[in-house]
This record gives sequence, structure tokens and C-alpha cells, in this order.
Amino acid sequence: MSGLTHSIERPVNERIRDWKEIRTAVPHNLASREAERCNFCLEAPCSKGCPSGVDVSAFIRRIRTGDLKSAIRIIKESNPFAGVCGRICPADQFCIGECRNRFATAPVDVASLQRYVADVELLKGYRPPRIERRKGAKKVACVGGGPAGLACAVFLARRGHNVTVFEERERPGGMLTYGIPSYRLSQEIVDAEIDQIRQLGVRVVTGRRITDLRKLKAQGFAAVFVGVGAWNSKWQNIEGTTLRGVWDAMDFLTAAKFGPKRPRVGETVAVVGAGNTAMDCAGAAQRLGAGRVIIIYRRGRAEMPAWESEVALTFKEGTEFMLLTAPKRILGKDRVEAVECVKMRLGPKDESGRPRPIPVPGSEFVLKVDTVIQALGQETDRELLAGLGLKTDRGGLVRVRKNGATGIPGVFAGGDVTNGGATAVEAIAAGKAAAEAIDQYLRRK
Amino acid sequence: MTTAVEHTLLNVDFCGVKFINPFILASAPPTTTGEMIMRAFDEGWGGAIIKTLVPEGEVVRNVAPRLASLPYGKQRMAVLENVELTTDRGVKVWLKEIGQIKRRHPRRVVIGSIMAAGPAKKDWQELTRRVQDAGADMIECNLGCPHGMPERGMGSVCSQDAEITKHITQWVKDVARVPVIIKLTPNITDIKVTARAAQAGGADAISAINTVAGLAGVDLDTLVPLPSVKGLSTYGGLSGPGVKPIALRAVCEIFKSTNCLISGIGGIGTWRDAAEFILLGSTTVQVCTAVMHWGYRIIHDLCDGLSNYMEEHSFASIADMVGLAARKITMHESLSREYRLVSAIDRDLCIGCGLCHVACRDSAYQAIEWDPKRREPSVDEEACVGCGLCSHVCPVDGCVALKESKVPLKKKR
Repeated sequence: MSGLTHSIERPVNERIRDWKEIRTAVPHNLASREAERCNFCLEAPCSKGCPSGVDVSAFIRRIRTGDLKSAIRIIKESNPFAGVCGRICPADQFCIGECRNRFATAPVDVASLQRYVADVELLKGYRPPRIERRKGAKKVACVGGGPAGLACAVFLARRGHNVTVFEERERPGGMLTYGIPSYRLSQEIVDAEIDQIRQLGVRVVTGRRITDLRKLKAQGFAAVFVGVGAWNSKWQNIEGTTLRGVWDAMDFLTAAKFGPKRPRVGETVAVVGAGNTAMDCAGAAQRLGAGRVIIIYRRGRAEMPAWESEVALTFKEGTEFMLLTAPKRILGKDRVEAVECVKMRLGPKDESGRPRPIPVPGSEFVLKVDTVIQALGQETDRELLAGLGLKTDRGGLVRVRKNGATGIPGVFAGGDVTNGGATAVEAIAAGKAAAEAIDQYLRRK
Repeated sequence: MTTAVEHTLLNVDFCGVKFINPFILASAPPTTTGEMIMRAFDEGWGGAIIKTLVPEGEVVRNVAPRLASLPYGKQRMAVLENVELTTDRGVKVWLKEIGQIKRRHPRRVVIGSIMAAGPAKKDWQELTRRVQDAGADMIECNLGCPHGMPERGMGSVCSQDAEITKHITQWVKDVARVPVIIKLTPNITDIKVTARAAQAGGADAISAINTVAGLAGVDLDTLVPLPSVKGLSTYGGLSGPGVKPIALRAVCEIFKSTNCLISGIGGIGTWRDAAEFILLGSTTVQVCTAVMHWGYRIIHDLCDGLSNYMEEHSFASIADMVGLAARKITMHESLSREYRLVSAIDRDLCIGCGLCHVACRDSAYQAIEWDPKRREPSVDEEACVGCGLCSHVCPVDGCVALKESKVPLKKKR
């Protein structure tokens, strides 16, 4: 965690008692002081580090000169999810990681500055600039209302197209809405930024599952962007997974956020897996009142797929990490009572390039738990994709060219459905690239 | 990225010359060559004043280093000192380049800057003719450079004398077909006198201020003042954020004492600075040091910020803004004596540093008491005169403010 985040992080004891954001609003004086640290470097490496291409040094310069209206315009020009990404983007891997100040003192905390701009302008009632619908505008459908589909819609709408987003769930936002707990990203921000997208003239239809692209074509959609994400949880089929108290990570996070009833987790919660979703489940379990939360992971610290910042946050909130451990079966009569685990050791590298975990014979032990959450990663819905007529690779990912073209004329794809589950900002970048390609496709037509 | 460099709100008429925006590169290192000016125009600058031309035969040889700067806290170049002379490129080269710039950027304003000795009527008139014939839209007479050139009877010595200022203006006006701007030095007791002299000579506009004469510092190891040119130094001209208050006063005084249009100069680095100069009477503004610091690209945030500000305040044009704040400058005698303010400290924001107490105790009226146990200041409203020192020393934004008070001042001095 860099820069400002340290100054605005709420104390653990306070924050794990509620679902409000971990970080408080960025105060004006801290933001302007941080902005002063920007060197306004030549050929801004920070901007090149941003997948969605936000002109970072330009917006920071606007903070510095007291012109937040231009700052938000500059950010939104490249990324419609300014407030969202200011909160959840692993910016250390992107803009912040490129900041030249890292060779002098410490990098500029770009993410907090972006969040500051988005929050202040949202309070002031930011409205996106009006766009003119082009004469003879073509209808384009974005299937899937997550960051990829919504971003694609924004950039198409800005080029004058008539865009409809189809989301099968009750609310738009995809993983931002259903996959990320509100203590990391307040739903109000997600909703507000999606409202701004609607104000651009994008139609967002919810509760509508698209299973046949030919029907869309028949309805007059001249091009389609498929950004349906990767929502199917990988499931470890061990004994006892049908017991009450065994959760799928996505279902758990959704229930924790929207109910109808929040999960009752009991005293001890075991989260199996060590990706970002596992960290989110652990944080959610803490906030649901668990006395003890344990991450169970079969490899070691270095192999955990979660981001360093998320691991640090989870650790700080008191979650225990049981590494080199794998669940063997879940015990209980009707409800979960315990999980039997086995210790692992690391062998030579497997096909994933990571050391293969090998069970240590005779090391089994029983851990008393009340809830088990399986957070082993997500994969795409192959059945759905096949129905849509899209070719997938062995991993279930839709194969596309760099601009999102699937090979089927007029059909493009991007986001988790093509990369298997990466960051919001990469999904946004994919949507944006596809919008450009779709625009070109429609002009050629 | 799209920016407001061509925003119609920023269009401005200055002496009958149309500018797409009021931002002009001052005659200085950023306008060293025509190629540089063309790049600045590509970026979006409204106008540029070429580096000052002197009569052919004047030998201009520069020294190294020719800059020294004063960082203040984290602010680099809070004040910049320079001892650079006028252009060291020939008159003919420049005349050719003025034509090239105008051909490539017909909508941008090129201003020829010229300088000659006080009594040299022929030189002034010849330079004027040649520069306007080359295609310059305006002429700026540099009567303000404080370093080097005064030793030859040029630069600031000219605008330190009202008669000389007037004569030069007349000579130039006599032959000029394009508007003439007279650039004044601030290194004078009363700039109103020379501003009126320029007006009397027929100047279309005045630009102010040229650099403030100064000395950036002394190298304490070598005992040589800065900048040290092989062990010796000379006085220089100061620019940058630190000279802004001097410039604002000069602009306001010229605005109130002449009818000339003004091109404001002195420490302009952001749109806020520009807005202040315009509100105090400038119609256009000139920038140098900020460009030396950050490059031509700052034109985008200057234009974005100024146009946003104008929209927010419903100004329909730059002309609508000019001088609005200057009207509110009056005699000290005319300021209210009934307006009673006292210091108000926000307990929630106070970090207990005690600086307000120290300041009031040692430099004001002992009106802020201090509880050493709780590390808490409190204002004695009967003793507070409302000078405001506490609010300026407080390290926390918004913690100390001044509020109106009905509590009568009880003198305990």
C-alpha cells in the first residue's frame, strides 16, 4: 500500500464491525500535497502503465492547479469507472508501479488521487458531457453488464452508436456489484458511475439472459460485444461438500452483500483458496461476526495468487493463514462440524509453472469449523458460450484477436471471458479496444 | 486528450489583434528560435513574443551559467534569477523566421520584441520597420531588462526615466503600422509615472512587469554570489512565483492610472494566476518561468482551468473580466474601521502545535492563551484585534479562521 492509503485507512477494530469502506474519503490537503509530488514527467510512464490509458500526469496537474472539473473529464475520457478503479485497482502493478519517483522517494499515490477527484466531483453532481447520436446510428448489443460490457458501451455511445447492455442479473456491474464486498468498494459508487453511463444514452437492460446471438441479429443489432465474465466457481469435489454451511465463494459474497438473509457463519470459518476472492470471503466472514477465520491453501506464501496488498489487508484484519494444507473431506451430520486436512509439501513444478503440492502421508488432522467456503477460482460458462456459437480454448476462454474480434463477423468479446479473470481495469481496456474495433467494423459495413 | 486551447470563451481582442486565447509566451528563453515558437503554437499558445532583437552591430555574447534559482520548501524555482542577454541570433535570421511562423500559423500572434539605446531614434525606427515588414502582428519595446543591457544604455534604464520612455514610444509609434506595446521595468519608485509616459507617447498597450532586479544568493563555501561565472557574478532579473505580488500591484496601478491595455507578466504559472492578472486589469498574460519549468504543454491546463472558471462565473468573455478586482482597491484611509474580526480556532482540527500562541504572544497582542497540559490554544476575544497572523502560521488547512465578532476590544497593551 502506497502513499496516502496509509493515512486514510480506518483502524481494524472499528472497520471489521461494519461494511463501510476500509478507507475514508481522501482529505483535500493530503490530496493536494500528494499532487505536488508529481513531476509531470515527459511521456508520462504512469499513463503508459494504465491499461485503460488514463492521462495520469495531466489529471494530477489539474488537481495541482485547482481544476477538478478538468481532472474528472480527463480521467473519464479514458475510464468511465474513475471512482471504482480509484478504490480497487491494483495500481502498484500499473500506474504507481511506473512512477519515476520510486527511484527518488516513493511513488505518487495515483489511485488515491483518482479516487479523490471522482468522489469530490460526484458530490458536486458530475454529469457526463452530452453526446450527439449519429445519423443512421447502428444498434449494438453488449452482452454482460460488467465493467467490460459497460465500458464497451460507453466508448461506442461516444462514437454515436445506439447501444444496449443486456445483463442477466438483477443489477448491473458484474463482479463490481456481486463479487467485490462493499467494504472494498461501496455499491453507491458503482451505481453512481453506472448511472452516469446511462446518462450518456446507453440502455441497460437487467434480468435478461442472452443465449442466442442470432436472435439479437434478427432484432437489428449490427454488432455484438460479449463480456459475460467468468462466474462458474471451480468446485473441489470432496466428501461433505453437500453439507449445510459449505459455500461457493461467489454465492457467499453475493449473499453477504444482498441477502436476502446474510449468511450465518458461526464461530470458525475456513476459506479454501488464496486468491483475491478468498481474501474477500475472509474479510466478509470477519464482518459477519466469525470469531476465527482461516485461509487454507495447499501451496506456500510465495505461490498465493492474491495481490500482495489484499493479503496484507486480510492478515491485518486477523485472518489466519494455514499454508501447505489441503482439505481432504468435510465432516458433519447435517451441518459442517469440522474439516479434515492434510499437510502438503512442494514438489517439482507442474504444468501451471508452480511447484506441485504433494500430500505428506500421515499428517492428517481435524479442524473444528462451522463454515467452509470454497474459493478456488472462477471459470467461464462453457455451455453458454457454446450456445452463443463462440469457440473456446481448453481452459474455456473465448479466443479473440487483440481488438476483441472473435472470428465471427460482427461479434467481439473481452474481459474475464477472454482472460479468465483479471482486473476491472483490464476488462475496461478490453471493452474500450473492442468498441474501437466495432466502430471500424460498422463503418466498413 | 482534448483541451480548451481553442475554446471560444478565451478568444480575445488585444489592440485590435485577435488572439485565440490570452496566453502569450513572453520574450524569453522559451522563444529563442522560430522553430520553438512554432512548436509552442502547435501545442496551443495564443501568441509569442520573440526574444528581443537589438540593432545590428550590437554584439551579444552570453555567459554560463546564466541562471540561479531559489527553491522554497518543496517548490523548485520559487524564484528564478537570470542574467541572459537579448537574442544572440542575427536580425536577418529572425526576420525570416517571423515570416515562416506566420505562414504556418496565420491565426497565432507573433510579436516582435525590439530594444535599442535610449537616444537611438534611428535604431528604434529601423527595427520597428523591419519587424513589421517581416510580418509581425505587434511590436513590443523592451524597456525593462535589468541585467547587462543597462550597461549599454538599453533595457531598464530606459523605462526608469519617464522622458525617455515617452520619446521612444513616440519614435516607434511614428513609424509603426501595427500596435505597439511598451514593456516596463518594476525597478522604479513609481511605475505609474512611466506608464503615463508611455501613454503620453501613444502606446497602444503596456506590458508589465519585466524582471525584478535581484541577487539569488551567495555560495557560502566559495563566497561568490549566484550565479557564479568563473568566480564572479552580477545582478540579475528575478521571475517566477515569488515575484507575482510585485507584478499584481504594478498591473493594478497601471490599470487605474492609464487607459492603455495591459499584458500582465510576473509569476504566472497556473490559470488561477492568469485569472488574477486579468481581474486586476490585464487583457492578455505572458508566461515564461512556468514554461521554463514544465514546458509548452502547460497551455492545456491554463486554458482548461481558465475556461472552466469563466463558465462557473458566467463571464461571457475575457473582456468582461478585465479589471473587476482592480475596482476594489482603494485608499487605506477608505477601509472600514468598524469591521471587527477575531480569531476562531477549530478544536476538532487543532493538532496542538502551539504556533498560533507563539505568533500572537511574540508578534501580536497576546490574545491566544495556551493550556500546556491539554496542549490547547484558546482565543481571548477581548484582546484579539483580528490581525490574522495565527491563521497564516497554522499548519492545518482550515483550522484557524477569522470570524466577525460583537465582543468589544478591551485594550490591555
